[in-house]
Amino acid sequence: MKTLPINAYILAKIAILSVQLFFANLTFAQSPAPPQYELEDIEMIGSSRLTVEQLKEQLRVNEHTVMSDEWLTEARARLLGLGIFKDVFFTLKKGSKSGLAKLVIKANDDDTVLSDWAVGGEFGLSLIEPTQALGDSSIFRGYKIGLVGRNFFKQSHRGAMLADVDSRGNLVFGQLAYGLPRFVSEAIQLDMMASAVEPQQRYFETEGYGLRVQSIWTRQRKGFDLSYGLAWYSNRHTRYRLEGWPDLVAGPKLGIIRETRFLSFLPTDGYRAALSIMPSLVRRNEPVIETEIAATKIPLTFLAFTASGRATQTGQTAISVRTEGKVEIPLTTNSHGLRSIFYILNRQGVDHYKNIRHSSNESIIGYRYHSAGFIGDLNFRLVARHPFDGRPSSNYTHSNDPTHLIGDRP
Amino acid sequence: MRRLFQLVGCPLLLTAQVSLGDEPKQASAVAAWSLEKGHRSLEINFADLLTPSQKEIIHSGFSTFTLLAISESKFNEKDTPPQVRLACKVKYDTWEERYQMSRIEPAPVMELLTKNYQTWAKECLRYTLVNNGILDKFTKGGTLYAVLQIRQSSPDEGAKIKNWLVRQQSGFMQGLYAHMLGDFQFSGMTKITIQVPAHPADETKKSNLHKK
Repeated sequence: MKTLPINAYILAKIAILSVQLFFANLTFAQSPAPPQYELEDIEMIGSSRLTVEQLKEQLRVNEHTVMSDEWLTEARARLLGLGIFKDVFFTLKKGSKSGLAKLVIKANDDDTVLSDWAVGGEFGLSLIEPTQALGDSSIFRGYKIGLVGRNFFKQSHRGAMLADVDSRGNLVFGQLAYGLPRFVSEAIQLDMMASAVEPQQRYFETEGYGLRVQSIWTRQRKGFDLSYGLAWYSNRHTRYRLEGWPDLVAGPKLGIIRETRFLSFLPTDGYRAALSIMPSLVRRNEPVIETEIAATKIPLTFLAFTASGRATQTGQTAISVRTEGKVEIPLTTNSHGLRSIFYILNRQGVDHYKNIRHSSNESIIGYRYHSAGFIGDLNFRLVARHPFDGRPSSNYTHSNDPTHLIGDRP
Repeated sequence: MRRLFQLVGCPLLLTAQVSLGDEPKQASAVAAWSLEKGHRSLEINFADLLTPSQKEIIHSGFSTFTLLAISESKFNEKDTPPQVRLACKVKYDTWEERYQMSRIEPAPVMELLTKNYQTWAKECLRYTLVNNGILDKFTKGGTLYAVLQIRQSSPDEGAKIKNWLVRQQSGFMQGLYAHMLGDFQFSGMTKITIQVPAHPADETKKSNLHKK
């Protein structure tokens, strides 16, 4: 970390020099034109994460592509934008005849994710204070396993999976997400996601609905991302439902997102603001409006503070609000970056629908460690106020009474 | 409790270190005093200090930026600007096997087209220190510090790509980048310690005093 001043200085200096280099380029015009060669062949060394065919597709090159400095900049951005390489280095070798060159790309894999599929993962253990509503005196409550991949099938398919299991082996929160291959030039991506959450066990991950399925295109427009697609939110499943809440909403979803943070192991300074609307085709008078705002500030090098709030409103009567404040303190680093952090998180939640109201407050103290592509997370959760205290434990031995399948009950 | 300790130990088992990117290389050089037309100067040559990967960057066939910064103090100890800066852009023509060079700093801009590596290296990787203020401090010898950076990319490229990745973090895929700890490495950087010998005149004085 001590090397930061020189790195920062040199980068700043180079930025100034780039202006001078621009003028130097103008001067270059009077000397012999800079050499530019057409592509004859392409080879990648140092990585097997992309096949040559994939490489050509990502770089959009053919036999007549002229490899100028401008082309180099774009090509490098395309490859690094995949998020699977830490560095790529381009070299030209003599081709079979004058005017042709062979392009050799040396790639340095981003080894914070593993294998050609660029896979990473997270293992979490949550120790949760026993409460009456949880109906279990054991302190061990949650095991979390997450897997991500940025390059499935070596073809830039992306995916993420999360399974949060309680001490009885029940899946209390699960998420599956898939993203089509993305390209830098198109600046558009398609993501699909399905999630299920059991409100009794993971209240804060529940925002009005127990089941959610979405398929969303995201398109970059200047500083904003526009999203559009289809969404389906349900409370019809016997386990994954927020009891008494609207049972089903579904329809087209439109949204706008502004994100300036880089959400790495420790987020960078910045903010996120998002707004979406889903005019439901099922409950036509009750469109779903989702809003989100989050800001991360790093006032000191050893402290990151994040405050966020999310709200999901269905019609004029149902609203679900979650807010949280998080302090992250980096503990250990090595020459490659941050290794471990300690964090304190406080979450507040409230749901209000007709005469039903839930609210909760939870504090979490945790430790996260990153190594070899995997993150270990150990945390202790102290629930100050459980949203379902005093109500029967949701052990899901509901009868087959069909009224249980209808969430919207008085 | 035994179970607790077993589970607490799980994250600690993940401490196996992996080999990540390159660290800045360390190198050392020796400056040489010279006297031309009664003016003393210090010659520092960095041309032989290039690592194989830095040479490869220069001979890549694409434009390369070289930046040499020399300072009296270690850059990482004091955030002070270097006393000397030498910046160039060079492009190696793969077919013609020649260097097209433009020295940007110090001004004025100088251009050169040559087939000889040493010729362009003389302009971009060698520095003659003539500032008397600095030279006076080193008449009895001492140490200078330098950083040599050779890049194939434009300076703001890293920021642009990072911005692209930031915007890929839609709500569904945020976890994808939670593992990206390192930063992009676009360059080969060498930190150089330069030993400056005592000025010969000063040595002679010392020697004479010793004889007496």
